[in-house]
Amino acid sequence: MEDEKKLIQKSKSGDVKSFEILISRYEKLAYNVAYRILGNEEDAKDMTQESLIKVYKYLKNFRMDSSFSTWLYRIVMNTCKDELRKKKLNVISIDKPINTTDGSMYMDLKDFSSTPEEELESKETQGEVQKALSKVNEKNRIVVVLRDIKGFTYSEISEILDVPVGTIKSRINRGRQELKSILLGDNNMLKGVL
Amino acid sequence: MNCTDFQKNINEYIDNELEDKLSNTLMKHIDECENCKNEYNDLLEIKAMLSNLEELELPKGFSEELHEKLEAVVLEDKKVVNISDYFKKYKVIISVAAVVLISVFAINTSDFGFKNNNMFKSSDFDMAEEENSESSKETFLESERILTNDDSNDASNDVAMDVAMEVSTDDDTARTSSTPEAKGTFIEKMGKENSNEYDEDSILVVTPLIEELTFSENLKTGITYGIANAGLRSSSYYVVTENERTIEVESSYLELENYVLTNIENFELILGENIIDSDYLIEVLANDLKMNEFLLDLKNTFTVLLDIPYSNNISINNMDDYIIELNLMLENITSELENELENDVIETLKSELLFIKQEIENILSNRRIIEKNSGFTKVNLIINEKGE
Repeated sequence: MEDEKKLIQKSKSGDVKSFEILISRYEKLAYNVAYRILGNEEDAKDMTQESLIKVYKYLKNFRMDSSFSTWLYRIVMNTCKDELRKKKLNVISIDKPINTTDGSMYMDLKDFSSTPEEELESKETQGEVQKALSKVNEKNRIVVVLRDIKGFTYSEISEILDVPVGTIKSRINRGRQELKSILLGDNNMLKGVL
Repeated sequence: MNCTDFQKNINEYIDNELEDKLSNTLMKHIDECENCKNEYNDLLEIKAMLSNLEELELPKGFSEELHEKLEAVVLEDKKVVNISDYFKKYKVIISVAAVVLISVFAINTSDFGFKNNNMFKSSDFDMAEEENSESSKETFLESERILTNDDSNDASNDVAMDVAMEVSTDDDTARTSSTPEAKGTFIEKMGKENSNEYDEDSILVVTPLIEELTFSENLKTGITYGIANAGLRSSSYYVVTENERTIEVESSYLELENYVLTNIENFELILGENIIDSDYLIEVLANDLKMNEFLLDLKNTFTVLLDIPYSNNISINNMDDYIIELNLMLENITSELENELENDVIETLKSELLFIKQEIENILSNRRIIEKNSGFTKVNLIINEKGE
């Protein structure tokens, strides 16, 4: 968009106001993507702001010929990835036992067989989906979120993550399979919801 | 299409990324294969679940917070840009002026008022280029010193302090401070017109001052010392020893400092009722000199190693700021020069700067001790500006 180009130019030269207008189109969705990837709103807010600051700082490196959107999301993704890496120690695998002083135990998976009323409540489903999403392997999660929540094409995702399209395909594959086994499992709980 | 291929392509298909031919084949397989049909439906569900996730609103205060952070970046940039620009454009010059101020104190007379905000001019003194010092431009020295005595920290005191500066070159009058009057008063009261006379009770104090740190394009490394004297025209010093013998030292700062440094046991600073261990002062003085040397070294390092021109118009009011600037320089050194220099050069630079920073910090802490004891307030750091 021509408008966008102008805004970018102005922002490059340090105009904060123009920058804020420029990113107003992107910030909400970027926040949502970050939220779905990181799993909590606090982190999502921090990472989104951090990313946007970086976007502002690195604008001078942005070549006007490529898509601003993919470039912005690249920064968002890198920031989220860094954050995930930091938090890796806190993530508990559902398969590995957690060692406690009492002895090992397995993570208590939530009982998916809730009552029909609860099943139907979309908010509950929302929570379940998000929880499930948080359990998906990070690399796969990122790709699935970019695809199904933001709607980027495979090639756009490939550009953002700097990863070949073939890899994108297989990650989406695996990501969805993981979600499926977490959500649907043997209970087929959600069959009735949709 | 078989089930394996189906698995391979199903995601692409539901994402509309599969080419038409394969899509058709796949659709056929869905009709034919129950398992794959279920798989297809499951995946569609998953996809729908994700797509239907509600879009959250930005949290409260998000934009305001972001705005603040952006503004902070802008501010940061300004500081950083100044320094890094200079690295690239101009000759690297760092100049520090350390001023040695010598004051003559009359201890017992209570008539002497307290003088502050003296503007001093000083002659430039370049350690490396001693001969050329006379031709240099003037430097502004601004010092704020508040004399206090005893605990009341009152401006009224028993000790009169006056500082006269050596006037180096012409354009003095415009910049001359308000001190002539004060000087005159002092000298009158002191009854001295001849620099060889002195009040028996007066004691010479060697006090280091730091001048305001300013860089300019024409900057060359140099050290500025203020030379105080009790006489308006002469450029000599008085050093009064413990037994109150007056020794006149000639105008060369070097000589003065040599004298002071070698005769420390004879030296004492008495200011009102405060007695300051001369060791402190000497140490500070020595540190100032050291700092000077380091900065000289730094300048050499820059010009020799880097051959990068640099200049800087930042004015720093005190050493604290200078340290901040050094920190910024340190931080920027890597990013700005990475592409232009080898790592070991950068490392050398960094360690030089760090070293200097540490030295300055030492100086600062010493000075604070002195200031605490003597009641001197912080003085400003001025860098001399030498004409080409």
